[in-house]
Amino acid sequence: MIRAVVRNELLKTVHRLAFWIVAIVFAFGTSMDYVQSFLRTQAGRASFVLPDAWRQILGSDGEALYIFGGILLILLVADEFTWRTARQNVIDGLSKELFFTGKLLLIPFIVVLFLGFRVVLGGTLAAVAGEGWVMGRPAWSALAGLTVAFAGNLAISLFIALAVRSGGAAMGVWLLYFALIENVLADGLVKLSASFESVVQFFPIHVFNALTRYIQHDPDALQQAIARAVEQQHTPPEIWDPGTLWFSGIAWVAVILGGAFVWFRKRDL
Amino acid sequence: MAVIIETEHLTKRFRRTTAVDDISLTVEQGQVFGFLGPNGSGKTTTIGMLTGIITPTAGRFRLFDSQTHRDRVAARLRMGSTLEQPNFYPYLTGRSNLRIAANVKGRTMRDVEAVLETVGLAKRAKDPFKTYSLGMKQRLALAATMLGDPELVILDEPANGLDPDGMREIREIISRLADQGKTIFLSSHLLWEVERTCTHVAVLKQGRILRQASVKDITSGGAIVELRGGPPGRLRDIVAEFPAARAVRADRDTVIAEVAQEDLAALNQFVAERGVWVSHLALRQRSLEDVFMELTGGGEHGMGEVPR
Repeated sequence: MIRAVVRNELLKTVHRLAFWIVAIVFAFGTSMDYVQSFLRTQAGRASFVLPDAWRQILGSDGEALYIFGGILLILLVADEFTWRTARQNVIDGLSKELFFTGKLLLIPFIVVLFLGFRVVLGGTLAAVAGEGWVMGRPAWSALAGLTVAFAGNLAISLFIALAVRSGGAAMGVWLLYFALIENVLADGLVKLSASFESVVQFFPIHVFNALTRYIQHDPDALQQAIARAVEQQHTPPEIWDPGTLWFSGIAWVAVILGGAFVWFRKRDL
Repeated sequence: MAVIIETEHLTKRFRRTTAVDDISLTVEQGQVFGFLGPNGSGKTTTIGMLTGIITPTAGRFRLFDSQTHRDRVAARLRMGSTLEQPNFYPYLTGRSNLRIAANVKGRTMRDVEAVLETVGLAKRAKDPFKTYSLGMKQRLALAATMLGDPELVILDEPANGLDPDGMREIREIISRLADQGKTIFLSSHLLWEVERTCTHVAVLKQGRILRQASVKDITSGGAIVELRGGPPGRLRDIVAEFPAARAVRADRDTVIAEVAQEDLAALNQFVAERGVWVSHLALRQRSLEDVFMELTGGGEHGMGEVPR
């Protein structure tokens, strides 16, 4: 049955015009960015070469990924309720659990497609501009971090799409959450009591952002940054224990997806 | 006969509203079961629970003797259903939409082509669903229902929005399915359709089953008399006073009454003695509509028990 679910999700996705529009706009924007860096490197005005270029490819904020990936996921999930095809799928014999699994599978699909495109294109251009493909341990770790953070952001999008059940409204709630809700909540709690700071740093977006900070995956660079900050009496970069950070990120993904499943299963279609 | 659907005290509440209230019914193999009730009586909610899209608040149900949630999921692959209006992906073609259902039911594209042919949509199968007329959408829903050769077919208002030709086609398809020995659970407003098609019925009002029986049993009993003549309101009042009349209602200029005995002459005389001369007086077989009106209180026609 899982093969049927995969086949159906592929059929629904690749025939959807919105999928191609979002994917092409993302691909165009990403290509422009990397091609520009590549051309500037060729002209000697920048240094977009591996392994340093990984800092830009994997470490720069993942907002473009989150925005395009989030929009796409919301469109693919929420419209199942607008068109009432979610109920039709269940009426046709799909269990609610398998319907949810189908939507869950969209997360790795989007992560592989979008992040894969970014890594392959950026990496290839930087490899051509420099001395070939070099990918050290920090780059692999940063790639894993960005993967978890991207999946986490998509998990939030999935939760909102399943809860709100309307594409437009879900996008509104999703934007509000990323732009405002978590920040306002965190600020409010910290203003209430400074002791909440230790709680606030474990908020999902905060954890996902920490996972995408390239320096977090490069211990040597992190030590140098701390030493430099101490020397110049600046605030040192936020330091996370790697184990805690990975655990928090993965746990948030699991908790958000678990919550989305329970919410979806409990509600009538 | 094997029991295909069995509900026990099935109940669904939406906050303060009880949509389905303690419904217990049994549908046996090979029956064409009509599920009747006015709008908002709980028909679609009941079907929603049977098809797995609505979770019951209380009670339980069995499909093909299923005991567990897993059994019920498996049992649903042996049935085909439509619920309210057809719901498909607007950007996909009719064929692709059926392919999605076929994948779930483990059927092939050959099966898809066969049902497209059966419902007369083969020529438009490559067009997007959003370009279909309502009748075509209903037929596509019926095609999805028939995919997988289901043993149980559940149809919720399948003739909704169809023109007379479309309704006839739906009736023919239902008859064909019934002839093949399928069990059919049909919710409909079209009482004459149900009477022609169904072997058994349950009448629902405000979430409760008022009566459940075979169509033959439910339509037997007192004879029905139709009268016309004079002002309908006055005629209705006079007929209501006739000692043998059990239920009286007015339908436009016709007064319809259930009489305990087939004494047309006595009724004619009774009306004439009160100054109204009837121009039409006919005895006919009690119909499902008559029973429905009696049980549900008559809706817009004002059918009801004669106050005594």
